[in-house]
Amino acid sequence: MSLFSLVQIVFGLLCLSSLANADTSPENSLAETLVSENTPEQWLEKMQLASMTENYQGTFMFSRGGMSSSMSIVHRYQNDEEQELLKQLDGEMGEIVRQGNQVMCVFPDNRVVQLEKAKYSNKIVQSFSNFMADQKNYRLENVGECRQVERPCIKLAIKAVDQHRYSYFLWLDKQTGLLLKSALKNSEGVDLERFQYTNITFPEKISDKALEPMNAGSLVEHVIIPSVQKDVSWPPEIMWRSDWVPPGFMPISGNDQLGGNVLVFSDGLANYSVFIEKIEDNMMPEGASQVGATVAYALTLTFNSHQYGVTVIGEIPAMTAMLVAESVKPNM
Amino acid sequence: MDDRIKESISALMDDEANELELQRVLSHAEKDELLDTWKTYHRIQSVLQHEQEGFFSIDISQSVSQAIAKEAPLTLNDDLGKSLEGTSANTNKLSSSLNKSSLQSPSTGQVSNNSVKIDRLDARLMTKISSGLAIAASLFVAFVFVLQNGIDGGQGLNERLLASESAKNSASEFQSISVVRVSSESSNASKKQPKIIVEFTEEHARRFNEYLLRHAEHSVASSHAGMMPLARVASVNAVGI
Repeated sequence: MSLFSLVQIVFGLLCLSSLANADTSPENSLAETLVSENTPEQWLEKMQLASMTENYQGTFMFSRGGMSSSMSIVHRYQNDEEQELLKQLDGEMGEIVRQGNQVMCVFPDNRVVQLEKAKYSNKIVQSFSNFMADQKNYRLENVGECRQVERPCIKLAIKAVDQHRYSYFLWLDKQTGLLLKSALKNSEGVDLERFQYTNITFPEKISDKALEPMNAGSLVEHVIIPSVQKDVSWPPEIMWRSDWVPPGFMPISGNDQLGGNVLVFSDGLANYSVFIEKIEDNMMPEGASQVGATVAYALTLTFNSHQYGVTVIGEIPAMTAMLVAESVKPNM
Repeated sequence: MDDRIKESISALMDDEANELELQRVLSHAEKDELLDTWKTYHRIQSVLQHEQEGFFSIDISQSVSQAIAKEAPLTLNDDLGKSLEGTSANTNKLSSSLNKSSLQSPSTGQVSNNSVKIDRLDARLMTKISSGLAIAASLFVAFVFVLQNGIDGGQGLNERLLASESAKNSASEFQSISVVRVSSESSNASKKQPKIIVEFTEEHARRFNEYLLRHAEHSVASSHAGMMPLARVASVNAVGI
């Protein structure tokens, strides 16, 4: 063995020794212990917090049904406000920009849609993890530890206990709690939706430039999603109600806050929206249309000889959406 | 009736119909005309194959409808419950395999292949579901599932449910599923027939995306889901909707 080789081996051993010492320092040991002692509920809380308050950027794959697309994301938390840029990497360029509560979708044809700021009163939406702990329609399990995108992570299973919702498998970054991978499965265990980072970094600072949409300079149209129009044959003050709500779901919007003919429900994990509209020619075909985990169930109903269209859309099974749609009635 | 629908019927008979052709037949408004053409084509086929012609004058759809109307609702006793659980699992597998296979090579021939699996089911169960399958078959519905209260965890699902699943639109990657409630107690025959949905057009895809945006709007506001609702919007847009 040459002297050079010997020096290399000694140097390598020294490096390994210093790494081992770093891993077993008292602070890191304490952190490891705290990490492993977190309950699934605490991990969910940590995940929610991380998605808002961490700086991160990377690329991920998003698959739903038979299609898959890759996207990049830049997320910054600064001055108590979230800023995010989501960009399609496949096909034509499309971007979604979030600044606080304001979300703008820039489509490949340079059409911009600004998502309306919905006013929610229910505190459920502010305390997801508390709600999860209270409700009995999912079973939370800490499945174990593994590795994703070169980072140690915790795997959680959130299993639906009935047929009115889907089950989720989450891979959370062990250090930050950020969601690195997720799979949404139906009751047969079939993947309906899958999300997975292919690379991710957690920079301390993210520049303004990194959050600028590339299409911002060439916007030609600005469309606000129109409110759902009521049929003129109905009284103007009509309100709507859903007589059947899947167990564990609760309304997260006031009827009047979303224009009177949109209802939104959540079980803390899955959401569905109910739209009540007048009958039009270009309505969705009756029945369920599905993309990945998102189903839209359209139905025409009659009340006192008045017809109205109900569309339920959300990450719920088609059968559940159907039962919800059939139960929507005017609150008279 | 235009040549296109006739060609679709012909392709359906030969097990060569693609999903678009199947949907075209299913959504054709003139059902009587459709049935006449179907019968005529079968007569031609049987003559060519030297078969008996008398069979095609028999229309069993009415008698099947009446039989279902008179039939007592299913009760979930232990034995039948076990059978149904097995059925549910099998039909779920069947559904999955149909979905997968329809993505590759949509063909009505798959229905007959899958009926072999159904043959393995409990005989009593087959008696119960056969009437529903007969009606579905008479309407050329491709895929049939029978779900039952208790098995699906459905609360208040006291009726038998038939779900007819149509093809996905290959251009938009959408899947359309028509879920229709069929009541065994009801005497209204019209309620017992599965609704036949139309093709998922570009207009419907745009409509779907509008709903998706509005739904994402609600989900984003709830904040717990992070960027997932936005990724859903972006991914739909990524395939050209």
